[in-house]
Amino acid sequence: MLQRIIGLVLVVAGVLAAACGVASATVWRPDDTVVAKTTYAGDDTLLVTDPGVLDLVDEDVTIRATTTGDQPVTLAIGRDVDVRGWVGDDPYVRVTGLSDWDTLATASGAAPTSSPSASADPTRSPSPSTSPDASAGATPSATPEASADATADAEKKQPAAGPDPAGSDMWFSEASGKGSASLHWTGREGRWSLVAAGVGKDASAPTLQLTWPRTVTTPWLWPGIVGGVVLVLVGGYLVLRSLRRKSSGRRDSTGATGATSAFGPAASGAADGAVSGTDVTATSVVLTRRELRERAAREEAARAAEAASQRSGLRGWLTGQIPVVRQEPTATDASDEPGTPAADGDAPASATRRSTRETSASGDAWRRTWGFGASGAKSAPKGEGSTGAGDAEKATGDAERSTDGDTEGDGR
Amino acid sequence: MSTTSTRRGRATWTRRATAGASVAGAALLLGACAPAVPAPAPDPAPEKPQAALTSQQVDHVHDAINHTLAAATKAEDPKELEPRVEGPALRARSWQLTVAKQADEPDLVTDLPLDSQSDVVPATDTWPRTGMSVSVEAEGSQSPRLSVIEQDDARAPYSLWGWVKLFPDTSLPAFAEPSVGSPAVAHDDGDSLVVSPDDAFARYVDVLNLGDDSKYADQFGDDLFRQLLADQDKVLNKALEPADGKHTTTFKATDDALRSVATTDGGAVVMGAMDAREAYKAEKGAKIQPQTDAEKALFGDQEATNTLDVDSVSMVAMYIPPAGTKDGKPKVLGVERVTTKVTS
Repeated sequence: MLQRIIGLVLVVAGVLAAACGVASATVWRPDDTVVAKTTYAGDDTLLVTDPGVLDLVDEDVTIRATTTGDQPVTLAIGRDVDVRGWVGDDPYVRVTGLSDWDTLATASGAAPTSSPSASADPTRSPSPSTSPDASAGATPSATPEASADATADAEKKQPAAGPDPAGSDMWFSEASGKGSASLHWTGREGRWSLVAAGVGKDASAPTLQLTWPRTVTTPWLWPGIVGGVVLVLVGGYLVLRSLRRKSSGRRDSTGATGATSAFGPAASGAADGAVSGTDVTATSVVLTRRELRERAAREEAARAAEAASQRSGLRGWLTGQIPVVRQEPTATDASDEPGTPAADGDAPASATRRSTRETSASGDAWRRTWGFGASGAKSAPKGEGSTGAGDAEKATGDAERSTDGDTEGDGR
Repeated sequence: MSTTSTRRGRATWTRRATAGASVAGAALLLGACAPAVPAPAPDPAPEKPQAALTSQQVDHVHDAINHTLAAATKAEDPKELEPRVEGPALRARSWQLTVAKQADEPDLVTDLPLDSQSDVVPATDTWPRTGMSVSVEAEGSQSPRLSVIEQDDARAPYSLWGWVKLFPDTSLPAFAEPSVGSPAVAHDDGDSLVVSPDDAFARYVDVLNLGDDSKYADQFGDDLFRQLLADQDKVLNKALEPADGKHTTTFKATDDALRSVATTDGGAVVMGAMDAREAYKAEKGAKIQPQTDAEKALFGDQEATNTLDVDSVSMVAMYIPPAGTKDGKPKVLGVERVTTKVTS
């Protein structure tokens, strides 16, 4: 029973495994692209990807940033030090990677303690001391410079509400648009960052979407199918074996010999033995080839003998049928056949195949054994066929009685 | 009765086992179908700063600067320079444009060739970032220009900061490959150089003012600029002699800090600017007229008197050898001098 349960479980598991293997390559097959978006909705306008994010899944990435309405948005890619330097002290949001296959993870960008651009300038210094001859007091006019510098400074120091990274010499790739902007980037050696900026007044951070192609493999297809088939086979074998043993056990209980276990031909042999009760021992589990050969030879010999008897025009007797002794013109010499009452009854199957000649011979033996006048029968066959026949019938009837019970015969 | 319950128990067990096996199998396969998300694996940060610009970016910067210069020249409007020109270059160029417009003489604007024959790319992760560029020969077989381009801060564009006309037959020291980049050199670095850039410029100003009388005169090799100034001073003084006149030139370093870029031999090429005033003075009643086209244009319709002051800005490029160089002296590579004001 346990074997059958295990077998069923294995079959079910095998079918499931094969189905899952197929499903992994069909309905569960991942998309050919990975599309991940940010879900940031704070006040900062700048999104900056960490180095390594752009080529997280594949070297080729399609970048798309969308904003609400027609708000300008700019995408720019540069070396991470350049992007960090450009962002400077402005608050920003780091895009740190994938939180799942559909979502880009974000973190608040820690504002650097000091902007790189604010670092000490090694090349700049107050101008060297002037010429010893300072009496000249040269004071050339610097009108163009003053105005130009003042304008430039004013532009640089404007409060940046949604600063726009567009146009920097440092970027390797950039795109701008109203409402959305997209960019394609192929990874290259180095550390690269992307800045996505909502630009202008009342700007908000854009929604950043990265799309990578993905090489989809189906590594579970064949292992699932093969493993499933193996499980089904093993489970099916266990179930079949369990069922067969059960039916075999049922037949054994009805048989005479009570065979415990047998396979294939041996089982049928055991069944035959139960019916015939003769040559096959019920305890044999598996017949050797030699035994099979010998049995086949015996059966062949028996068939040959039967065929020979039929050819001789003599018919055999069925079990239990009362043999009828033919009237013989001459009594055969039965002295060489030590017939006993038990000899006729010990083997019904072989008795059916005995010829009437043998029967009559055994009849003679029986008469001799039991003191009937065998010689009388011998001496008066001629001209007294009817008497001889009557004797023969009587003898047959006695023989039959002795066959029915030895005790009765012994009692005489 | 007990047999029935046993069968039921076995059936339940079978169902449970089947369900468990199927769930486990499904979970295993689903788990396999959804592998863990990858984590970023960027290249390691370089140990030292890399070249800040690629050659394509350098070309882009040059194109932008040249475009700005051409637009301003065409419009003869200094304001057109602002996006891409700064520092002494902005002052000098602005005056050149003003003079050219007043004199109606476009040739008074220095020709700055578009193409460069070599580029020096900054190698730094901070700002400002300073690079240099050597142009091809200018029109009329004029000597190549050595330009300094600079990015003041991360949100500023690269701009032309200064330029000089290289002296003829001047050989420049070797710079690092553009793909490697050249770091900046501290203005007060007197340890790795024979003299710090600050000191070198201060002493050069002294030499220009005092000539051979300067105590630093022998610390500089002779150069074309010094020769030119000395020759000019001699000629003008001789010319003013009959009018009991005198001509003096006084240099003064500007507030602009120096720009220095390292060379492969450990030295540095330094560019700085200095203002100068030429003072002409003659006896009373004499009238000193401006000499050059630029001076005339700037002089305009002023009335000539016995004094004339000509102000100019000079950009000077200098090579400072590394410390320990035998007989190492700062060497002036080129100069650009632009007249900015002429007053009587």
